[in-house]
Amino acid sequence: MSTPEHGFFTDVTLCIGCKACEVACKQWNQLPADGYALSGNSYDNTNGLSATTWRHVAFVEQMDRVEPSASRWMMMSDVCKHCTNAGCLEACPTGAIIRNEFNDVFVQPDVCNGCGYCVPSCPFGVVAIQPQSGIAQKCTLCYDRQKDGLEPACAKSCPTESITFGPIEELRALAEARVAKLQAEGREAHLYGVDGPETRDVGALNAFFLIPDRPEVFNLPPNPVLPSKFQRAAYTSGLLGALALGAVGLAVFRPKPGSA
Amino acid sequence: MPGLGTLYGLGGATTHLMDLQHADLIVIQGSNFAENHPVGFRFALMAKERGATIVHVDPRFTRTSALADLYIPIRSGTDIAFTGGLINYVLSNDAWFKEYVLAYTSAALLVDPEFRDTDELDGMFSGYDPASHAYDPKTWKYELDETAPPPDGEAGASVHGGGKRPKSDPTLQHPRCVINVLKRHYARYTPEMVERITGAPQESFLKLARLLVANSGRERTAIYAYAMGWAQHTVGVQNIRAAATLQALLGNTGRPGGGIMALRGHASIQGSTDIATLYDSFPGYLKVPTAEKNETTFAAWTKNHTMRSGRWAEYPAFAVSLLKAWYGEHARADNDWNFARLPLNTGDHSDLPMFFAMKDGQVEGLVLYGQNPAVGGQNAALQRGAMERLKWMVVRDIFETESASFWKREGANPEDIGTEIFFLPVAGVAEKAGTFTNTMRLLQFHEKAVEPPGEARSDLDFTYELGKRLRALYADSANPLDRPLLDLTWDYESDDPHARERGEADVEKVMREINGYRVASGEHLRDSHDLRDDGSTACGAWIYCGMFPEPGRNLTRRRSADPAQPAAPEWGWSWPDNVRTLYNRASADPDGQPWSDRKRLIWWDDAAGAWQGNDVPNFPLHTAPSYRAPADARGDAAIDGNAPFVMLEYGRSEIFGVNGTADGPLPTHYEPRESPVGNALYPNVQYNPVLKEWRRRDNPYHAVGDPKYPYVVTTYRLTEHHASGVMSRQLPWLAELQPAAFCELSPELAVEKEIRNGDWVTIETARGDIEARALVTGRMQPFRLAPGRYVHQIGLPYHFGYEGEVRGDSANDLPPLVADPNVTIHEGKAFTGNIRRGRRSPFTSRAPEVEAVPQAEQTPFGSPERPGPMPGPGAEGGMFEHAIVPPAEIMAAARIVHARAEARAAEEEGTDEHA
Amino acid sequence: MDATEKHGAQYAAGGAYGPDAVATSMQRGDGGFGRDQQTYYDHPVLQKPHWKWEIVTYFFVGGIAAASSALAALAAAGGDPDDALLVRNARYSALAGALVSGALLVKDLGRPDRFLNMLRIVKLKSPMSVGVYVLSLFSMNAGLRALEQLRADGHVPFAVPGWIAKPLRVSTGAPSTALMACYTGVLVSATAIPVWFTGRRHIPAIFVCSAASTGAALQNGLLALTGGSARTSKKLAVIELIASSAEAILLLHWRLSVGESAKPLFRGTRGRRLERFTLVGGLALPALLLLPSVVSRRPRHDPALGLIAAAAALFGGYVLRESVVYAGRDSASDARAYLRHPE
Repeated sequence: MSTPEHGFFTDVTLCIGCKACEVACKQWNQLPADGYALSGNSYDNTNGLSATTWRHVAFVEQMDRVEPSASRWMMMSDVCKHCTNAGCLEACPTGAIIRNEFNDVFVQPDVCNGCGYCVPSCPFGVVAIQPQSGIAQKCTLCYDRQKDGLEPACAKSCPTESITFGPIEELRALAEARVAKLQAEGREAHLYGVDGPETRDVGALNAFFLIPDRPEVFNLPPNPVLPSKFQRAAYTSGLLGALALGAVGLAVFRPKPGSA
Repeated sequence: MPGLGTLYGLGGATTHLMDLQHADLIVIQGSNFAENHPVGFRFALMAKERGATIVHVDPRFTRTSALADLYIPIRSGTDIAFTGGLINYVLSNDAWFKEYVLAYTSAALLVDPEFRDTDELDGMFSGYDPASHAYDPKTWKYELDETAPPPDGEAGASVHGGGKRPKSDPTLQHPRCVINVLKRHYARYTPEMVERITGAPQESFLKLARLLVANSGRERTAIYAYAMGWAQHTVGVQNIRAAATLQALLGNTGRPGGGIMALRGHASIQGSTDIATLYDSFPGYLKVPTAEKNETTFAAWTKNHTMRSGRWAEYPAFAVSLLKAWYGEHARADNDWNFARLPLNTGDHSDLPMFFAMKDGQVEGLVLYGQNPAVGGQNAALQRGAMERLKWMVVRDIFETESASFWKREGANPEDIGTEIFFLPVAGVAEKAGTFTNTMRLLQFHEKAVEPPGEARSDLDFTYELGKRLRALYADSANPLDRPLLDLTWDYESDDPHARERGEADVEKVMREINGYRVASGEHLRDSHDLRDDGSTACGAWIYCGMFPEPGRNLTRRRSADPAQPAAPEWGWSWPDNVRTLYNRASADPDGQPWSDRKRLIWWDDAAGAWQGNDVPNFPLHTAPSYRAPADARGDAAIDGNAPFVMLEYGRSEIFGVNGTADGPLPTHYEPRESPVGNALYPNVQYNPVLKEWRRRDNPYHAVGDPKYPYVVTTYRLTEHHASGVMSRQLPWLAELQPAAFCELSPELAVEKEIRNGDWVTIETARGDIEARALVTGRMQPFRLAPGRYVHQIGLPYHFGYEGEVRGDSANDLPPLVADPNVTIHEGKAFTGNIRRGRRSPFTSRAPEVEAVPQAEQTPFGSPERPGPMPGPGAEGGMFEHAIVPPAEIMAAARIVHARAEARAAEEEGTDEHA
Repeated sequence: MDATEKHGAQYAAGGAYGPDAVATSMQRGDGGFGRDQQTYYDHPVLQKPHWKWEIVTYFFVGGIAAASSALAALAAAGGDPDDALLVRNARYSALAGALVSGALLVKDLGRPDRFLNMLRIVKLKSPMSVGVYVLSLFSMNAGLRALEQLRADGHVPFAVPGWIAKPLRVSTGAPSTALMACYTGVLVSATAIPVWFTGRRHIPAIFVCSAASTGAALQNGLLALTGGSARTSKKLAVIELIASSAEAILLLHWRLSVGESAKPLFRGTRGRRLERFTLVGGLALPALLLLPSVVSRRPRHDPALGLIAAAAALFGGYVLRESVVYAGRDSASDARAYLRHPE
């Protein structure tokens, strides 16, 4: 890799839930709004990532009436994880999904024909088909901005630097220092997407997080699967079945002794 | 903001946002900092990274609380009780910063012997005149020393009014020493009383008190950040003064990482007040002449405001320069500087009285520049009804606002409305060049990025063009009433022919006029000290003088940020004189050396004979710390070398309010105008006795403790929306983030009223009902004021209206119009109401509430009344016995339901039963 | 007793003030208080695949086409002249199926005009890419066979030259047919959808068996319509019976061996539908109907019965595919299952 891998480090403990990242992303990529509906789920009315929401801020309230100082309201800006072993990339039959020169997972919008196979192949539920354009869409890590030496729109707009962008090695160092600091202060903090159990199959995530609670609280899978790993068992099952039935068929249609 | 002005001298944040990173403690109260100033909040987080503590004191647990180290709940409208409690703690524990307080505040001065405090007069201060319903502040003064000549170098080297000095006792033993008056005044603000009034647990309160003490002094400093949560109350100014007093006692003001960070409510409202959209001030905070004070000549006018010492000694120079800027050659020494053309105030012409007058048919026309009273005004139904009485209205905005379309709103019959409306499209912020003056007094110029669409034009271009046409229309008039228009200098024509063709004014020409220039040569002025009272200088706003020191060098355009200078002095330009931290003389001790190396900001350099350091000194550059002003000195020369608060008469922070607040020299706890509980401290003075109210049938107030309206209602903002929603609810990307009007309530209240999360609910007041979706959240909590006595709160974002991509009822339909007596700011943060499940009745039409008030009940010119001391329901009265689910049970409920869901799921797994 | 105590008693008694009321008055899920959150408001983690009837039908038709092709090849190789009609029907069915499959797949694309982009790369790791080439090769093979059949039936005068036909036949015949039958099962199994990936040891085999049983059913039905021999019909019935039994056993085993993640398929309306139309209607019923003709020494051929059995089996096979695909869509929405049962 001549260009160092670039990615995101999103630190939940610095997020003020302003959603500038959501809006900056939509504005830069000219994505439409997803619709208007009050969810009743804290201040989150966009609910999750979609084909037209590539940054999504989650709000988790944990209010403690018995021990008020333990109350907290966590806000987390979710994004495509740009996995080292990306389920979507492995699934894509047209080669539309590639790793670009910044090592980010990118859907080439002029190649994708909307087969939709990447959609169920993403263990994080990121990529989806946009009905109007008919193609799969997700965070591009602002590939176009990166090519001009700019940082992604969300990182630029984040006022508290909860979202930082840069070479992965630097981000990891930053993140580890931050975790150490928080833990020294007695605060819950750990990294998601660097070298925990969640990276077992999908590998390290180029967009990784510092989270102060279990991953499932933020709808992050504790053990995201890499679907291509299921193929072996699946092909075995299918081919054995085909073989067996083929044998049955041969037996049934075998030439009878004495026939032509 | 008199809150800060009366105590420190200037009505503006004492520090700047970048300075927050140097604070050791940041107390955010009356503010939702992270929510509404997300970019500024990064500096608070930087402080946190360096080990600072962030404390958030607020009725709700908000996005700011989420990042604070400590959250303390308080009932909306009880901030003075809380801050007073802190003042009491600091004073009783002798924890105030002695050297600072003695040298830099009025602590040692003696108060007038006729002064009586609220504890002596059952909740009132001395000087209340029942006939005029107002205070006469003559006892709120110092006791003057009639005899002794001015001693050298003592506290009290100069005096307010008259050349005599106040008596003082540097040993602080005298009972009438300001500091002892303060001690007595706040003696009853014990932690128990604080809990009783505010609902803040004593433990938390004491934790903050200890943090404040530990983080103030030589080595450490603390910042207070406040916003509308303090300002928008009938005791708004006193809310702010209480914190300013506390910070003065702790020695934090004027120091790096210390002081008061006033967070203003709009992106450029500081600029608005600087260049005067307030009815009672001219640009640069000169006062508009008033008929009450007989200010009918230039001399009479300026005499009332010219001070002996400090910059206000140059009041006449500022005033003459302003008039030269406005009237050019028409303002001369021989015609009293054209003073006769200025309007005289004859009363309260602020926004609230104006709308009452409008409602009573006394106002013919209204021009709204980006203002949306139909949603943004309190008692919004009345505001909409007032607009129906106008003959004509001009609305300039980027979308059709609720004010522009009031005539077709639900319940309105256009045939009955005679208002002729002109709706004019306006250029948005990126479609015009100009400056913002943000909350830290920083001016930043921004370029025009794109042309405005169609016929949209900027407010500057519109106003300039309007002025040109009006002047042309009246050019031949002989009527003296037309002279103010015709005498104006009005040439801001652009030098660029294309711009001229498009009808654009040259914004930098306007800036040049505001900055100031020499009349004869046209040369730009570089410093407000260059202003003269002889007509040789013109200056549109003396505080902005220096921002544009020569053609081509507009300092507000600067964008250099040198990491070695955290204050970023080359980024934009702040007033005055690019000072970032006001009163920064106080960062050095009386001898001119920093209180500690860790907290150095500016210091005296003997060799250079000047003040040096990391900020522009907010002090005469060459005045040595040892300098003591002679008795006859004037202006800057009258400022002692150890008097940091240079805008005040004698340079020391006035922690006893001698500078004219209408409602008292010391902040005192009064309940909001509408409250479910009595005033525990002063049962016979329920609310501010001199607040401004309008008792009319179209502005009904709830009685204290009215069982029909038992809950406290408060209004506030969300990050996703802006003000009345014009700029945000029309934009899908923002609209989808908060797509519906909702109200926040605690699970305890939700249980009581059988409201489920997401249900439609109706919030009721005597002014009207609104509907919203319920957001039941643990972040709202009932306040426990006494065993079994709780006050529930309901919270409402106020952004919604009947126009836009996403719509909803306006929260501002609920509060009555009632205001602070000093600046007539409305009380939107605490009033009472009720809530019930279900939508607003379709039969509750809007129209009946906006009936015209009969002539006999009208208020002439919308003039407010003042209530005088109103007794409350008694110390115990008014607090309801609310049924409430104990907190631990609430917690357990979540686990019960969760456990049941788990059990159900396990059951299904184990059996073959179909779901 | 102060208000709090009074209310506490009321609370314990339940009703409007009880724990349920309190809990439901809080935010959805168990968020709002405490730290017991298991999901994020139960909001789906995964995105739903957009596949609907086009893909369901494709799975169905594609399986039948594969089985038809296999039956044609086996019967042709066996050389029994009675089976000639079967060979003919099956070859044409295979081609028709291949063409319909292709059309359905193109229609399902978000950008059908770009269907050729599927041929830009070969990615063996992606069952979808594998499937593209499998379908292509299968279609070529089916086309070739159909052409041969047309020649044999005298409908076209020419034949494909041997030097083209033979290598193709050898290289593409069995593999593409086998893969055509099972790759769709691999396609759905190799995803992150819980009901699918936890069924990865079952689904492909089930799809193969279903392909075989529905293919045999179709051919039996066609034989009934075109007047085929009873002996051929019996052979088909045997295959159908064996395939159906295998399919039923696999389905039942699948249902018993996985837990919550398979709920969207085996429970509720869908589960009942699957039971009714696939297990009972699609497997058990035809098996019962066919059993007599299988066990009897003299093959009897009752066309009407054959048609009924065929229709039932075909419908059952369709419902199977539909259930699996739509269960997958539901499974994507089940946050609890996904977050709690990692594999």
